[in-house]
Amino acid sequence: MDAQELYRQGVTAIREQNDLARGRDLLVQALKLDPHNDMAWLWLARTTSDPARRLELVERALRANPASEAARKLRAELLAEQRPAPPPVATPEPTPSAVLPPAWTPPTPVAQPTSSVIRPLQRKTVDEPVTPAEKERIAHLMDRAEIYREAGDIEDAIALWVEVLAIRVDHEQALRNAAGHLWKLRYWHDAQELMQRAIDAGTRVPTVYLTAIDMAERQNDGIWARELRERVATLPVADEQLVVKVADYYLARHQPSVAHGFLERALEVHPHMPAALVKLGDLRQESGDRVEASRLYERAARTGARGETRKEIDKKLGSYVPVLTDRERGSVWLAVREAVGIAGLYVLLGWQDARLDLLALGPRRWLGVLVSLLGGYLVVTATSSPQQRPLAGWLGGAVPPPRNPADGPALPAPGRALEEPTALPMLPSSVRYGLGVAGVVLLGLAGALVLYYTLGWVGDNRPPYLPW
Amino acid sequence: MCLLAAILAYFLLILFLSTLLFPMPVNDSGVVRYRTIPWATLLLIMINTAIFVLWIAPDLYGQQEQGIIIQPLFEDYVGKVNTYGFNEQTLRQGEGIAALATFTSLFMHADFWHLFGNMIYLWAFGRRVEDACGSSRFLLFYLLAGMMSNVGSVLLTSKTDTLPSIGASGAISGVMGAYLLLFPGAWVNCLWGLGTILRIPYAAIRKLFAGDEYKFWRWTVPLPAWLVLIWFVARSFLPSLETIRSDEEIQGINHLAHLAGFLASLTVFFFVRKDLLLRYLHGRSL
Repeated sequence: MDAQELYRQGVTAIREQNDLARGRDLLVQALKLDPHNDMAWLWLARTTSDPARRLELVERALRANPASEAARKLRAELLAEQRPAPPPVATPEPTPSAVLPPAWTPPTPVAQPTSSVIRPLQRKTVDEPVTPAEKERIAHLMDRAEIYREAGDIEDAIALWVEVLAIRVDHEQALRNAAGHLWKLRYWHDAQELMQRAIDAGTRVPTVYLTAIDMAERQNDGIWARELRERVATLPVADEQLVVKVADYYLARHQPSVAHGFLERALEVHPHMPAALVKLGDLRQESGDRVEASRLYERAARTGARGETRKEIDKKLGSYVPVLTDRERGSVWLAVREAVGIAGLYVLLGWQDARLDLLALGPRRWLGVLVSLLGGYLVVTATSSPQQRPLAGWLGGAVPPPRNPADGPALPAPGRALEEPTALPMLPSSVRYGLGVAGVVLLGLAGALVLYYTLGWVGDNRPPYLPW
Repeated sequence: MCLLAAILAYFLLILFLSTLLFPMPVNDSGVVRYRTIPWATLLLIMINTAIFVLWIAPDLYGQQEQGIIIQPLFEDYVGKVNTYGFNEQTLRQGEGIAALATFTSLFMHADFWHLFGNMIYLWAFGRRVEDACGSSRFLLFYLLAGMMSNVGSVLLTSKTDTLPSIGASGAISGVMGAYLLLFPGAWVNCLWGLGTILRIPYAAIRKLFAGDEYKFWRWTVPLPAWLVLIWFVARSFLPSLETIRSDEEIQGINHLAHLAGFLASLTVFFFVRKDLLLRYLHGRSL
C-alpha cells in the first residue's frame, strides 16, 4: 500500500468511522513513507487532544509545507487558545440558524479553503438576470458539488459552491453550504465575506441576512451586527417575515431590548407591517405596558392585514379595550358626521309633519333642521368628542395630566376611551356640561320647530281618526 | 298549571314548525369588540314587550262581559292600531297623531308571534351593532331606520295606503342590514330543524372519514350571517316587487317597509364609533 492510499484510509477512519486509533496508525505509516505530506500531519494533529502535542504536529506540517495556509491558521488558533481566554459572551448560545452548524467545532485541518477560495463576482447586483447558459452551469456545478460532498471531499465541494456564487451571488443553497462549511472549518472571514457580498449585491433572500446576523453575533462583532440590522430595517421593499425573524432571533438570545429597538427602527421606515406591529405589541405587553401594546395591535389592525395575521390581531385585540387615536379624537368631521345623523332624523320628522311633501317643509322646519344640526353637534362635542382641534383649545381645554400608575389598572373600563392618556387638550368638565345642556335644549327646540303641525294637532286634543 | 304547560307546549310546537325548514337566527356567535352591555337592545325589547303585554294583549286576547254576552275587545285593539299605527292616508291628511305615529308604530305589534319574531331578530343582530355604535347612537340609528322604513314604504308605491302599519320590523331590518355591512364575515346561531337533522349524518361522515370529534347534536346551527340575511332580503324583495306591481300588500305584511329598512342601514355610518368607522374605511371589517 502506498503512502497516498494509507493517508486516504487514515482520513476515512477518522472522519467517517471516528476511529482515531486506527486513523493515527494509518497516518503514521503514511508519514513514514512520505514525511512531506502536510495534510497527513494536520490530520494526525486531530487525533490527539493534547494542545502541546497538537501544536507540535502542526509545526511539523508547516515544516513540510511552509506555504500551507491551513496549517498557519491552525497554528495561530492553537496559540491563541493557549493564551488566557477572553471573558465569555454574556448571552447564552443562540438557537442555530437555518444555515450555520453549532458555533464550536473542533479545529479541522483542511488545507484548501482559504480566503483565496472566493472568486470575483461576475455581476455586481442580484437584479442582473442569469442567462440560461449560466443557469445550466449552476445546476451542473451544484450537482458536482453534491457528489463531492457525499464523497467527503468538502474542499472541492466548497470550491464549486463558491464558483456558483460567483455567478449568482445569493444562490441560497450554494451560499448556505459554502458559508456553513467554511464556518465549520473556522474560516470565519471567508464565510462572512460570502455573506457580505450577497448583502452588498442587494439580495432579498431572508436567510442570508439572518445567517449574517448570526455570524456577527457569534463573532461578537457588534458593529457588523448593528449594521446588518439597520440594513434589514431599511430594506427598500419591506420584508416583514424577515423583520419578524430577526426580532425572534434576538428574543431567542434573551436580548429583548435589541429586538425592540430593531422593530421600532423597521417600523419607522415601513410603518405598515402588521406582523411587526404585533411582535412589538407582544414585547410591550410582556414588559407590562398594556396601553402601548393595545395601540400597536390597533395600528396592526388598521393596516388592512388579511388571513391568519388578521385573525391573530383580532384575537389579541379581543382582550383589549379599543383605543382612539389622536386623529380620531381631534377630528371635527367625525363629530359633525354624528350631528348630521341626528339632523337626518329631524329631516324625516319634518318631512312627515309636512304630510310627506318635501317642498312643503317651509322655512320653520328647515330652521328646525339647522338647529338640530347645531344641537346635535353640541351634544356630540360634550359627550364623545371633547378633544376636537382647535375647538378644545379655544374653549380653555387642557392636556390631561399623565396618569399615576398607583391610581389603578392601566386601562380604563370598556367604553371609557376618553380616559386614556392623550396629548390633545380636553374641554373642561364645566364647558362640556354647558355644551351638553345647550345641545339638549336646542334639540328640543328643533323638535318643536319640525313637528309644529303635529304638536299643534295633538295639543288640541282632537279625537283620533278612526276609519268607522 | 296544566294551562301553562299547554301554552308552553303550543309555543314550542309552533316554534318547531316555524323553524323546521327555514332558519331563525337566535344569537350572534361572534366576539363583541367593546363588550358593552347592550342596554339599548334590552331596553327596546323591554319597551316593546311591555307595550304589547300591558296595552295591546288585553284588547287582543281579552273579553268583556256585557250582561250575559261575552264581547271580545277587538274593537279597542283596532282603534289603537289605527290611531297609533303608521298610516299614509292619515299622515297625508294631517289627522290622528300625524308624524308622531312614525314613533309609536315602531313599538306596537299585531300579535304575540309578531312580537316574538321581531324581538328575537333584534336580539340576534342588534347586540353587536349596538356594540359598534354605542347605546345612545344605536338608539338614534334604530329610530332613524324605523322612520326611513315607514317613509320608504310610502315612497316605493304610487297608491296611497289606507291600512296602518305597525311593528318594529322596519327598524330591525335596518339593524340587520347594518349588521351585514359591518360584519360581513360573521356567523349567527340559528334554530333550524332541517339543519339539526342533517347535522347527524354529516357528523357521522366526518367521524368516519376525517376522524374528528364533530358534535352530533346541537340545538342551534351556526350559519354565515350573509346567508341568513340574503335569504331574509330575498323573502322581502320578491313580495315587494309584487306589492309595487299590484299596489296591494301581500299576506298583510308590509314587505316594502322591510326592504326600505334594509336600505336605511346605510345610515349606520353616521352612528358607528369613530375609530371603527376609520377601520372600516381602511378596508377591514370590524
